[in-house]
Amino acid sequence: MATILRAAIAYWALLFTLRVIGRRAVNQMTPFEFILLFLIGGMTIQAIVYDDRSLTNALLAVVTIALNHVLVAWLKEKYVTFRKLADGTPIIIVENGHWHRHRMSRMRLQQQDVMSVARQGGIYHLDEIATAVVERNGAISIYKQRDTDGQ
Amino acid sequence: MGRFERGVWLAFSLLILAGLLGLFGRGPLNNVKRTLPDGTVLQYSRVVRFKSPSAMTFNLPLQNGTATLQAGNAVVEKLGSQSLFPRPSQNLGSPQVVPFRFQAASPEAQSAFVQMTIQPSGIGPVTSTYSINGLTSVSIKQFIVP
Repeated sequence: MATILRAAIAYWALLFTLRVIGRRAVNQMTPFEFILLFLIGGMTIQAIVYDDRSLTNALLAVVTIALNHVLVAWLKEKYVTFRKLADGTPIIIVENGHWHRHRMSRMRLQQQDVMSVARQGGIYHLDEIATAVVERNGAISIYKQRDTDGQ
Repeated sequence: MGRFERGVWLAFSLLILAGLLGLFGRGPLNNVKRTLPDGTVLQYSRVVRFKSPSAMTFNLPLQNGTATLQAGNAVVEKLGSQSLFPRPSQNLGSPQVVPFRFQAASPEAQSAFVQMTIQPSGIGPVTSTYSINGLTSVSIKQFIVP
């Protein structure tokens, strides 16, 4: 029983911890951020499994996390407020070549991070960006001036 | 959602419910408390997990300030007894049985509380036998899950 409760608590704690740490798509992570994720995962595993290394214990923990994940997906579909809490909403950070510095600061996002994504799409100057949006999954979408296709 | 997926989620939900109740060990329905005619009180788990620590407690009636607990070899071989608390005052070991003698904690004490930590090394049903003060014998049936 304790494993199930620990796994459920860990799932919800991680869900909101990663939400407030800041959105960052996997392909935009620094090596340190990757290590940080593994560190958080490793510490959580220890707390969930505790002193019980049996297969039964591992299965119960895995199934608990799977059920919680389905529950979260259902809650997101059912309640818009919950979806916004869990995933956030897309946020515009560049509009017509101007930074929304306050929004970026709130998201702990650097200008270099945005320009790095822009360069991958062949954009080298801020003036060329019509809109840059941080999506719910942390990916940055860049729209060129007079261009409706996201890159 | 397909019929197969619905079936799997239903099975998972039942699995978690059973886990919360303790049907796979470590839960409210898993704990057993037995009182024997001589006053010995035993507490143990119906289901224990492979290589995971679990506790069994014995509240042994004292006779002339001592209590003897004799455990059959299944306790060592299958249940993997790890430790006894408190440490017995005497270990009267033999190849087939493992008898321990405990002294009273104080002259007024009526019983001796003993906790045994086990860490099962097999899988499946196991029956262990205990003899208390050489007078009362009890068998405990447990199931070891992987």
